[in-house]
Amino acid sequence: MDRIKHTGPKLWTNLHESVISMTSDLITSGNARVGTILEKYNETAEDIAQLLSETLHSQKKIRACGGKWSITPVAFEKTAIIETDHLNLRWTPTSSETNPMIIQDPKNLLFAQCGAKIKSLSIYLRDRKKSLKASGASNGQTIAGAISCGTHGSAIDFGSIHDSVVGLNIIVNKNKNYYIQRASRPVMNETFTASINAILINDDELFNAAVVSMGCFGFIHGVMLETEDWFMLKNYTKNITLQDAELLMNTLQFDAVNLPTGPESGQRPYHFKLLINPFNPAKNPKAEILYKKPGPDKYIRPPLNDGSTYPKDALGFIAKITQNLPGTDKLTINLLESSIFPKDIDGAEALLYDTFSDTSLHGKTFACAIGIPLDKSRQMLSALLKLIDDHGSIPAIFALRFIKKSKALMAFSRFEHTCVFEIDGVRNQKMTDYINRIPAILRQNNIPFTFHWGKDNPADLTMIAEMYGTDFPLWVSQKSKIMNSPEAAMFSSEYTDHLGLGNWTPEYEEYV
Amino acid sequence: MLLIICTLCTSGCYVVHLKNADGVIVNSSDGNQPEKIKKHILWWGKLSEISVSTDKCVNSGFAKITVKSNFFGSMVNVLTLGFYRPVTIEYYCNEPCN
Repeated sequence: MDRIKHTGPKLWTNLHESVISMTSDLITSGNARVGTILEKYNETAEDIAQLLSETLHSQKKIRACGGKWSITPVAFEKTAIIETDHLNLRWTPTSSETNPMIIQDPKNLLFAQCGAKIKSLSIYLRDRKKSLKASGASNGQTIAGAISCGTHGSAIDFGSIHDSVVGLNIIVNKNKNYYIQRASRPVMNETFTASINAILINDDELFNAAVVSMGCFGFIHGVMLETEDWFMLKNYTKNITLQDAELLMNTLQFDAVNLPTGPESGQRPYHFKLLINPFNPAKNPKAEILYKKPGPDKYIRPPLNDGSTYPKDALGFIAKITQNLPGTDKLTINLLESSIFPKDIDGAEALLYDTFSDTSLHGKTFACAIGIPLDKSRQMLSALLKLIDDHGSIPAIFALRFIKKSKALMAFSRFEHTCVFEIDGVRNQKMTDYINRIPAILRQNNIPFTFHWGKDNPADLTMIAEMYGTDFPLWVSQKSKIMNSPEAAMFSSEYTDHLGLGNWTPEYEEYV
Repeated sequence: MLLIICTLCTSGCYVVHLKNADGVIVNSSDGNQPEKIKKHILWWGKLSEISVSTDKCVNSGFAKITVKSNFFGSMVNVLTLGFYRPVTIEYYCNEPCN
């Protein structure tokens, strides 16, 4: 148990400094230094189960925290926070542990302990000529944190990171160590679940509830990911015509436009993103268009510099300027547009790992992401530009990303193709006021919407019910399959209670 | 003009980042990120060696090291003809080995 350390009261800050608050007990965790990887994993599982039992006994709450990337307080709890980023074991299961009818090659699976970071997993996979199926815009999230809050990229025909999850090892209490997977796709067999001392549950609804659950479905100790052979992404980052951008943002019909992407023009890309300066919306927008190509026999990394991959959190830079010079947001964004937006790229190729790589700057940025149906994107853009006219300028830019619908009940990518409309900028009251006005504007325009769980949003219980409809009570009801009411309370927090995510209803018999 | 004002407002005089390209940043064993060391560089850098125990990084080394000097540090450095410069060194732990 000395691998679990209670460090006492500490000031807790997330990466973007949007949450700075005291927690009564910051708990650090680590794996054993000796033993096989499985022994280490199972010893840590016992440590965690013991910690949860003690927490339950003392009627306290506890929240697991990963890479601290969430801008909302979803990873914060004032009673106790357990840091998980040292729990980074990962391994590939053997064929004797999988169901051959479901998955032919176990090399396309990766079992990751909760605190393993996306970058760490990508390195592990890269060394085996494999890859994650999707990534966020960067790589610092832990796997449990990334799936719990719906981290997404812009893989238009795949989805988010959590859409590649095929199993979850969840610990609730001393006698409740579960491995949950879909009954309709039971990838792993009892040999595997016995090896991690877990009770096997094959249940579609429970899995679809737990995979995006904001920390409320117990302690996610392990995540089984489906991976694929490594692949290259051929990157065209260029301005495209406004006419093409407007057609694509509503339809993703790439065969109906003529993009400046050489031989790939007309083909459907793996990733598509639009960046729009709201103070110059008539200008041809910048687009990131990435085409998937087979992985090479031998990979040569592109030069490691900021210009080769992705915009390195340029908003952190704007934040520094506009915080020191208030009222200059419109001028600053127009002047620095070329620095904010990524540099032009004409067909450079890199692995997913090198395409969505480290973010070098962070700080008091504001980020809001709103999920809407694809065919409403243009209408949404017009409505939010008009809102700027009414509200006054905001220190922000717009970005549109696109992802396929998720099966997860509470995934914010719940439309057949979801346009993720992002408003990224500087943290100030004007931005907060602007975001608070958006739901009413969307209702006036009959645009259904959701908000990203890990980013700034004005949601409350009523809005969650409006956004998720019958999926919300269905999600709440699934908790009773693996936990009782006091256990559900232990995994809630002030923030999740505010959103109604801490609710529990006695719908089902527990799987024990 | 705006850029000059911005530069003065936001500058820390210099920041140098040394990053392990395949490093994975994690919190130190006591939950901090990054660990900070304030160092007084004396004798034109001849007394500048710093030893850091890797205990806080669970013997996994560093993923990134940042050296920062602010406006005050640079001014003192000029006034002492380079004899003395205060700097802040931050280090980020690499993830523990399995």
